[in-house]
Amino acid sequence: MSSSTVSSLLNVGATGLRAQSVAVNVTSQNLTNVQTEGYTRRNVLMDPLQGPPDGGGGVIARGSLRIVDQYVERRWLGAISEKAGAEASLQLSSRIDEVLSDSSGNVGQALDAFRAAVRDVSVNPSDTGARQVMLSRAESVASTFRNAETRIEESRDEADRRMADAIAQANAIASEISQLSQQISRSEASGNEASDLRDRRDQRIRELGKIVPITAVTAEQGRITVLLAGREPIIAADGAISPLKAVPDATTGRIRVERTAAGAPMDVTSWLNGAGSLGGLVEARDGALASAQTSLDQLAFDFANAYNTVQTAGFGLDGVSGRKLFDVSATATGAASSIALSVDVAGFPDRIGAASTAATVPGDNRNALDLAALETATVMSGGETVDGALGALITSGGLSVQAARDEVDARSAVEAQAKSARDSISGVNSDDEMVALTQYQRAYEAATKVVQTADEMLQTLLQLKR
Amino acid sequence: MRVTDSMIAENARLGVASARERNLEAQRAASTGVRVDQPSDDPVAAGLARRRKADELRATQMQRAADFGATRLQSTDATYEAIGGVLDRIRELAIQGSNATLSASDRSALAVEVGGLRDQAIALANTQLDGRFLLAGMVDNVAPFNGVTGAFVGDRNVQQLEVAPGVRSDVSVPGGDVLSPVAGVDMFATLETLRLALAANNPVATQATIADLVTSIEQVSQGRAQSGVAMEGVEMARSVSKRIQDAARVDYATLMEVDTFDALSELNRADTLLQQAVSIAARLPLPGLAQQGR
Repeated sequence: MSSSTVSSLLNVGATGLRAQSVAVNVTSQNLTNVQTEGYTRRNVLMDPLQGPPDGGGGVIARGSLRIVDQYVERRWLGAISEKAGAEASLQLSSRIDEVLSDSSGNVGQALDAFRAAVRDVSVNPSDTGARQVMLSRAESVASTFRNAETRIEESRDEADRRMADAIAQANAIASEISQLSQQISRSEASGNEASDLRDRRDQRIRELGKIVPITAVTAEQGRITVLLAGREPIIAADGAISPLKAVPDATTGRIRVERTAAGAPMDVTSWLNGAGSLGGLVEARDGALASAQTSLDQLAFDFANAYNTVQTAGFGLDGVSGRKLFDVSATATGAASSIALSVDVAGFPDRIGAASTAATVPGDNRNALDLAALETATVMSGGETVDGALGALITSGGLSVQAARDEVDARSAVEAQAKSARDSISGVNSDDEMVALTQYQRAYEAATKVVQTADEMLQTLLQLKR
Repeated sequence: MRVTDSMIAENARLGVASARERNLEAQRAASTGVRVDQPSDDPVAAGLARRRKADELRATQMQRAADFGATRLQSTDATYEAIGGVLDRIRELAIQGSNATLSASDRSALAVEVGGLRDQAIALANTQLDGRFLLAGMVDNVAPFNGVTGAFVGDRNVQQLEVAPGVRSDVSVPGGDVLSPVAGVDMFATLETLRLALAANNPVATQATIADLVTSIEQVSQGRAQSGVAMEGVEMARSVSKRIQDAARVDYATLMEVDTFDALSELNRADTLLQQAVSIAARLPLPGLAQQGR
């Protein structure tokens, strides 16, 4: 054995020391990020080095490899969008619960108080006090309708404001993703590792996915294409961004989402399909909230007209008939926001039409009895009573909130499963890493032994020469 | 499946969060007694409860109306009873006055007494309750009988109230239907005829009024009978309303309120579950083989 061979053995040992150091470094990185959100574990890439014909060349650590399954990542990203959409939708839809719950200041209780007052007038038709109470309760009913409508309308307005904010945020994140892609591309082109940058980009992609439904498609040189709803890119492979824009609809005034590409705007609101916070906001705004608003309008419209019909047939204490109890819009649209105590009777309790003829005032309560009977009359659309219609509205509103809550539960479970699947592949298991750390430590010790052995052999060789 | 540390931590977090949510809901239900706090808790129950609550309140209002009607009818009956008492006395005076042996001065004294009793009957016929004329029909702000002549000038429409769902019951017996010519005999005209006959010392004419007096008494009795029948109807309707109110209240409670035993049992279960979840979270294993170094 020549001294050159022993020297080669020293080199082999040295490569082992270097490679195992890198491995321990990568494993330590994994271990210290065991609970870091979005961290992707790395494996060390080691290759044997080609050596001389009569010996080995050692080992080289070529860096680390992020352990990622693109399909699992894509599934998780989709689940994140669906969950965020369901949560945003629930947050707004749940306002319906507040509006329709049987609590003080809501329509149901105001109706109860109003009808009790109507019955009091039917018992004491000439009692001015009872009449004043009835007018006051009628105003309360109108006020609670308006208040309920305002709360729903405000929720829909809030959806618009949140959408505008979310769109601005999405554009900012898209810009960040584009910049990160360029950094990754440059870094990897120059032979450097960009795992941390990739992790950061993946994290931003997931943040973007919480806002809009997206699909991330890997392109060459570390670049990425991000498709909106799997259709058109909002981030092209070359880093170009097609920004989203919040545009008020010309007819409804409600915000719709436009994507601008090559200077041409395109309405992409329908692409969202309830996914991402934007989709969830649109779904709540145009779904459950709009439906509750329409039903509330219909309820207010039918209610006001039913009482007006009977009231106008009755005669006040002054012997005059034909006066309405409520002022309301000509059509159901906007009725809940427009209903008010009629100017015909406001401030004039004697104008309540309790009597059925002018000649029989003030003790005639027949028309007041007819007003009271409206409580159980099927005067509402769909052949319902007032309470039947309100009960149906409460049930449908409650069901929509319940459905939104169930959707959140279901989507959360799906997202948790997808995240588990992703963590199972890309997450850090400290048992694995501790074993690997021990393994690399032993390998390092072995490489040290190689160096030590080579050194001893060299010493032996040198002594022979003396 | 490859289990990672973050999966274990997330699992513990979700376990505690879920147990705490259940515990909070159990506490709310047990402390408030309310099962359905918001429509989404049970949409169908919340919708039905709105109807049941309206049924209960309506039945409550109808009982109030029944109370009012009963009071009115009792007052009406008492008024007719008092008028009947006056008529009985007047009939006795008429019988006395038709006795041929009575002197002119005696008849004159009887005439004065009859006149006073007649005025008393007119006042009774114009009795007010809560500022309204009880026997006036619907136009109850005007005295139904002329205060001097007793002539009927009022309204004969019978007032009704809804005292049970869909049941409108009479709550007045207008004097026009009992004391005026519509009922058969004009009572106050008969009394005036009697007074004049006595004042004229005419036993034959006095005798002639007795038949109409008897008819008037019968008319008043008939009025009392009408009050009684109406009161019976009101009372029956009131008991119907009470039953409806009770049933609606039970239905509402069944729909919206918790069973106390169930609520406390659930609270116990939720407490235990939360303690378990917290205990498990507190005993999360140290990262991997790091435990070996302890």
